[in-house]
Amino acid sequence: MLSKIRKAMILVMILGILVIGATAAAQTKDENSIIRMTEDWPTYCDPAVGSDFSDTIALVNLHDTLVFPNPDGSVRPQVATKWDISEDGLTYKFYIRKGVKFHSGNELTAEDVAFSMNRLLTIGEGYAYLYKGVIESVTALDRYTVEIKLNNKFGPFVSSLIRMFIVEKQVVMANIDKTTDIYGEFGDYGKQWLLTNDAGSGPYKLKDVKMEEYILGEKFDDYWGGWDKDAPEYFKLSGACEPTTVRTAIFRQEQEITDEMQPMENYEAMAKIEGVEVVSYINGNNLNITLNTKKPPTDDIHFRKALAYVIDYEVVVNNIFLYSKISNGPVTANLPGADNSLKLYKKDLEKAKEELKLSKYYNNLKDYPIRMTWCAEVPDEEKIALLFQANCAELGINVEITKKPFGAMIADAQTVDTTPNASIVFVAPSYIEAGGMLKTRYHSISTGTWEQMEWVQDSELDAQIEDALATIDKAERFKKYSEIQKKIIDLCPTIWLFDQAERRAYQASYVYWPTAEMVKKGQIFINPMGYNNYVHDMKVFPEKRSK
Amino acid sequence: MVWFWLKKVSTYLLVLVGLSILIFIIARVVPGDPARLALGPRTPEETVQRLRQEMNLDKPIYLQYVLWVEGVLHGDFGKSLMTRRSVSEDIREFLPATLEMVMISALLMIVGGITLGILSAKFSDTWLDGVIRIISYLGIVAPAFVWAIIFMFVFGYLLPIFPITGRLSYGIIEPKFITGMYTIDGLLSGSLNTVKDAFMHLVIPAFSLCLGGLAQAARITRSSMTDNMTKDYISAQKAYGIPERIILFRFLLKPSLIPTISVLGLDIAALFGNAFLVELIFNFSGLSKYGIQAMLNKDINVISAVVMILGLVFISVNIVIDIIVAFLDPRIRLMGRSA
Repeated sequence: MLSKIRKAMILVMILGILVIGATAAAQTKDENSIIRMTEDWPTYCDPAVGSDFSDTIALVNLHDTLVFPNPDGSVRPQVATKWDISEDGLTYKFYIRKGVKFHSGNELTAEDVAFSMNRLLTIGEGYAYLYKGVIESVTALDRYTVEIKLNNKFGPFVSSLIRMFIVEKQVVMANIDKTTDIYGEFGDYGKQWLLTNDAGSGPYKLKDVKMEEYILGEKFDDYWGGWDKDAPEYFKLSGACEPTTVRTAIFRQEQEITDEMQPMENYEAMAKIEGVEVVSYINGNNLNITLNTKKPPTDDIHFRKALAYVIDYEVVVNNIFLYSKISNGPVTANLPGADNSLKLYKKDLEKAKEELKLSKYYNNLKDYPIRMTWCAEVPDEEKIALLFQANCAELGINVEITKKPFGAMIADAQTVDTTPNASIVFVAPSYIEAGGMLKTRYHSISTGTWEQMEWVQDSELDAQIEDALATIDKAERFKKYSEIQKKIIDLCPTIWLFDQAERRAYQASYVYWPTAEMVKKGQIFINPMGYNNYVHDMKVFPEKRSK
Repeated sequence: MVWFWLKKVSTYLLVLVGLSILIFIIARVVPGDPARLALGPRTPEETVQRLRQEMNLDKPIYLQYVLWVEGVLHGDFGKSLMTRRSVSEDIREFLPATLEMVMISALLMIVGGITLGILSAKFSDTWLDGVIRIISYLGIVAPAFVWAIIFMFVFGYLLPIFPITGRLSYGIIEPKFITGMYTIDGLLSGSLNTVKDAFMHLVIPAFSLCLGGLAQAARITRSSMTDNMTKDYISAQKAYGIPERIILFRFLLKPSLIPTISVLGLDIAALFGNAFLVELIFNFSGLSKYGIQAMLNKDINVISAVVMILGLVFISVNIVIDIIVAFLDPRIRLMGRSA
């Protein structure tokens, strides 16, 4: 009898150990299966707050969107399996994929989509600027259908939804701070809680947040999109961007992908480390010299064209911002809708002199110096300012250069008088289409902001841009974009210097990074900000680490 | 004596009040709209305006100051525009990190600096004195961040012994918050692994930070001791046959330490400011890095809070120095009594 009891106890113990062991094995993730990246800090994981580079990297990995960008700039279904657009172009119906789970385990429904958009619009931060004034209402018609009504037709609307990250209503509402009424009955709308937690359904869930240091994401095993067997178990995004630190971390294989802000010398040094490669790709941004069209002497079209013909574009891309490409016009070359067949200005001293002679300021250039500002946060812009000054001197034009912090440039841009004649500034599209650049750069709605220091204020151009954006048919819309680009080039309110190349070093010996693979194949692609760092599609092979 | 100290403390309090007014005004008059900077250039104006109202930026500056002081007296420094949470919460997290690093640096500075100074004085004009002099010059000429980069290169790159970023290694669990200092919290919670890991993360940053002050302390101690060695009372004690060791530690060291302690006090207080670049290089989330980033991003509540804390640190250190110097030098105690 006793031996039977003893045998039974032993059997139970063995079974217990097996169960615990199996559970532990299932729960154990390989901590070496990780992608560690650096990016400028702070990082906000709240989709209604974050919109900067590091925020967006976190957001694309922790959350899902209705649609997902393709490398060619188009979008494909993601949480939305399909959508209908009404004939008048004002009503969109999105059909939600069934069985998508949030990190909490609850299913994602149309109610969560509607909640996320309403929350974004109410808070008004982050990417809300894309939808404010555009969206009239968002309603969940049933469990899996959400209807979005627009105030006006907006052709690129579906493309812009790559920036509308979905949060779980139930979880957010359970964590709102009711001690404040900043958003009425919604308290703080969960902003405080979402600083260090996530309510997403994305491939990774937030495991740890150290403010001012890093965020750590852990693979969400129940992700609806499934997993490749070599996909990373973790990703870590940290703010350790100091060149020495990054180089040492890459050398020690304690970092897999660097940020894009390293000095040229650092990339060159890292490229020499065994197993490390440096890749460059056009990121959709371009560097402009904006010309104030309402202030002498840059209010004269011939004067502006003279400046556009005098600057040495080759020196800029060959000696200052290496790997970048000379611009094709007001829109970055690989943005959908960019017309790369248009003729742009090139360095031509004779043409510059011809244009200057037609200018009303030709005979008293000394009385009209150009006041130019460059951004203190981008030290290499000083070299461009000095080059511009030297090139203008060839025409007898005097350029006075001032260095200013970006905050001061934003303040200066508020009136015509305080906006300098020329300002060097990086610009990025609001969404991945030419219209995203044309509207923010040249429509009157953006005058008085850093995004349009040209003060173009052309009602005809405004009407053209609005008409193009209201065109639902893509081909027709792109044709209209082309006409707008031609008009802007003729107007010459800007000197378009180059399309920016983003550079990053990565551990090619043990990391598969889709962006790097496209670069190596010579593929032309445009991934919106953050999506080049989409960890779900990467692979890591810890056993191939050499150290 | 009590009156003497009361007068000193009230003076320091006045300094703090003056500092608060000065930094409050400076943070607000420097060009740039903090609300716009925090929310980004594309955020609609009404959202920016809401944040301005939340931060009382739409009120007159004297009223803003009154509301701020009211908050501070209740332990509320306002909200940080960078971290988007209360400044008090941020300080609770970041201050212990810097404090931990500064304490180790200070210890190294005091022990290392004074020891090297004594050795240098005792063996003056020998090869040992020469070596210590070279170390001192190197420590003085190069700022802390240069040493940080050099040590990272040597111990992070050539001989990868020490970790190079953060406060803990990936995979090490943070100890339960008691003081916020991982070495102490780890010890108190019995997690020796955490203590060891946290300490390893502190070695290079703390050592980089302490070198300047250590070098200064060594030089001043040596100079002071060498100077006092020539005094009549020392010659008299040698003549009495008192052992050299007793002369050195009982009669020579005490008066020689007065200038060293005074300078060390200022150096230790200055560590908080010097720690910024070191924290940046090692991605160490401490108060100094937090403060400088606040200044770059015009996070006005954080700027005010951090400067006040630094002011408090300087004042506290000055008080401690005054007490130590009074202990070391009876003349100062007597002066205080007669005052």
